[in-house]
Amino acid sequence: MTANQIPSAAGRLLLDRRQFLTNTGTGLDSIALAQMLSAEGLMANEEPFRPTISPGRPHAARQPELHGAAKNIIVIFCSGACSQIDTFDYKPELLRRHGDPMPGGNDIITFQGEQGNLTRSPYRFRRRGESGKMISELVDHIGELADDLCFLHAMTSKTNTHGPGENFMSTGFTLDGFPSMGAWVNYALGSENDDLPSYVAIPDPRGKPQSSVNNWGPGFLPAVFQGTDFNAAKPIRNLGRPSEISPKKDLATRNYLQRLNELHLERYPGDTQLAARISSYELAARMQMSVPGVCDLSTESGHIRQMYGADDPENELKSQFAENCILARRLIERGVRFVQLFNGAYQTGGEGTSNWDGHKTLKKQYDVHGPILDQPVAGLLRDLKQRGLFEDTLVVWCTEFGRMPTFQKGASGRDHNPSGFTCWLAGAGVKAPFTYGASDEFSYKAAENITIRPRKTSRRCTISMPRSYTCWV
Amino acid sequence: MKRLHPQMLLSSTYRQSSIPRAKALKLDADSLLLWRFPPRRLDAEAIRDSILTVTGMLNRQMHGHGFYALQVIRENVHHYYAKEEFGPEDWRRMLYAVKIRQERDGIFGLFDCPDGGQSVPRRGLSTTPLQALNLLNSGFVMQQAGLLAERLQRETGTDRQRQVARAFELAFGRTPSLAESAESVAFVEAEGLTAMCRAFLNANEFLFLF
Repeated sequence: MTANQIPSAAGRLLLDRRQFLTNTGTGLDSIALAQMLSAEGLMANEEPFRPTISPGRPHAARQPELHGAAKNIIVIFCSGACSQIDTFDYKPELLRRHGDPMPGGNDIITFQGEQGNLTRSPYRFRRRGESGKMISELVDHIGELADDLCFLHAMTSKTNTHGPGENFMSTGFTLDGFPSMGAWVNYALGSENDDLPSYVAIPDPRGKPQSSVNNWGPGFLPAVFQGTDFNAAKPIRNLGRPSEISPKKDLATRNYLQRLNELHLERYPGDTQLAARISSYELAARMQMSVPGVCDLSTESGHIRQMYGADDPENELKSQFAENCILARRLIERGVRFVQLFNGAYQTGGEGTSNWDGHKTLKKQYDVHGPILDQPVAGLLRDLKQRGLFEDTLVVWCTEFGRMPTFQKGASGRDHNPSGFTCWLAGAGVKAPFTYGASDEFSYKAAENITIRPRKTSRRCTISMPRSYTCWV
Repeated sequence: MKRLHPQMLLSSTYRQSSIPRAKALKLDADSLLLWRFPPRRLDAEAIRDSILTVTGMLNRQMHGHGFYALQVIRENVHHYYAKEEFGPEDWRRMLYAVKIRQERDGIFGLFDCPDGGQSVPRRGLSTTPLQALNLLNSGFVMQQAGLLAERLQRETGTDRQRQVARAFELAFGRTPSLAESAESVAFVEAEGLTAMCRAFLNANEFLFLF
């Protein structure tokens, strides 16, 4: 191990196996990661898991000790904090007490200030699927798949602020600088496909989420394990050769470069760093071939595009998000291990305009955001099912935190609420239809079977940096 | 200290060649015991500054406000986009690039250059295909390759051999071997000087310290 690979102080603490889940077990990633790790038989082992990483092929799939259900993960992340009250957490008591002050409501500390009265959702709920789960008309298409979903109604966060909230859900920490869950998974398991980035973050058509790269950053893990961000409309930067260079000249130049590097390598035989850098150019060339292929959605048939809602003439954003959903499936299909699919971007055009941050005019804004999310996500789930990908792909739907059962004083929207919110899981290894945990009578606080709360007792997870970490990638 | 310096610099350990030896590689690949200088890829900033130095475009202006390596759009919130076009004001040392939280330089950020929101006591040293793509295809490097070609022509005229020799001198700090010279001259004849410069700015020898 050279000096450059020694993790930072925070890194060493985190990588200590006793500390690992004590610390990481506080974010949503613990659900996904614990699922992956337990599936792979990596939990509670005596010996830490130390992936063997080849410098030339750092993403090569690593042999897990046991084979579990989930081989890939898609995380659908709603930026801006999507209200549980208006989507999946039905509260009859809120209907009855609509317009009353919330009991104890005067003491509530909220993000933007004083609270008004309890306010029912402007959206109607009805029973869906054979399970009869009450789901809002805002997410009508997703509701059709109620029997495939496992709801977690008692999620909690440590923060009521967007950036830290995204960090918390994506890395387990409110502060910047920790590895994202995708980076952990990528580091531990590698990928099935050498020619594509093994971890892809797909930003919303409207832009990146508030905490931006932190959501897919490597933290103190080697940078090679970070997510690569691109979406259906915006490919990887600098992927293609410059337009002024002909393909022939480009190829000749690469060959000449290869020759320079080989002559140089002859003088330094056995140097793995040099060899790995040469192979990175070969990988780059393969990526140039395969990425445009995976991003080329023209090969998708009309009825598939229709299923995702990718050709909605009246809703361009929905069509664009739907294309991102199709891209997610195509990546998973080709063996990409981890895909993050963002719905909503950082505050562009004002509060709540480009994401789920419905403080002031919730109905007006959610009438925009709901349709963008709903059919494309339902289409993705259906498509995964019909292609047999559902059996080995874990789908996680999550957001930053929840929203209040009250409207803000003098406004018709809901303030931030980290005390209780909803996420759902679907696909590989997930018990469905099922509901785990419950919020209180108004969906203000997580009440039963709280899914995420900083734990005092450490549940051991044995993943660690290898002792002799010769992968300098 | 002065007395210590010659002692260190004249020691046989310090004067050892960086050429790897099979036996030593097997015993201590990372050179923890310092049997040679462990080869190291340049950091992001050093790569960018080296490119500008070799092309003669480095703007050595010191002090004062930094420059924006990203295009800034000020709206409800600030948005940052990777720049596509560069001029002399962008060619100061990367030390003077304004650091922005959660944003990294569009080209060199991928060389383990952390964004402005993170404190990193030690940087990683990764090697990725995306780095290769950025150095091969970015507008920044393409422009610099053109500028390097202009410099070679300015300084050595039209003699291919002299152009090649000067390029080796500038980028690698040495003269080319006869074989290297012949191959490079043939390549320049076929594909042009700029293409050779583009390859030079991507070469391992240019990016690694030995």
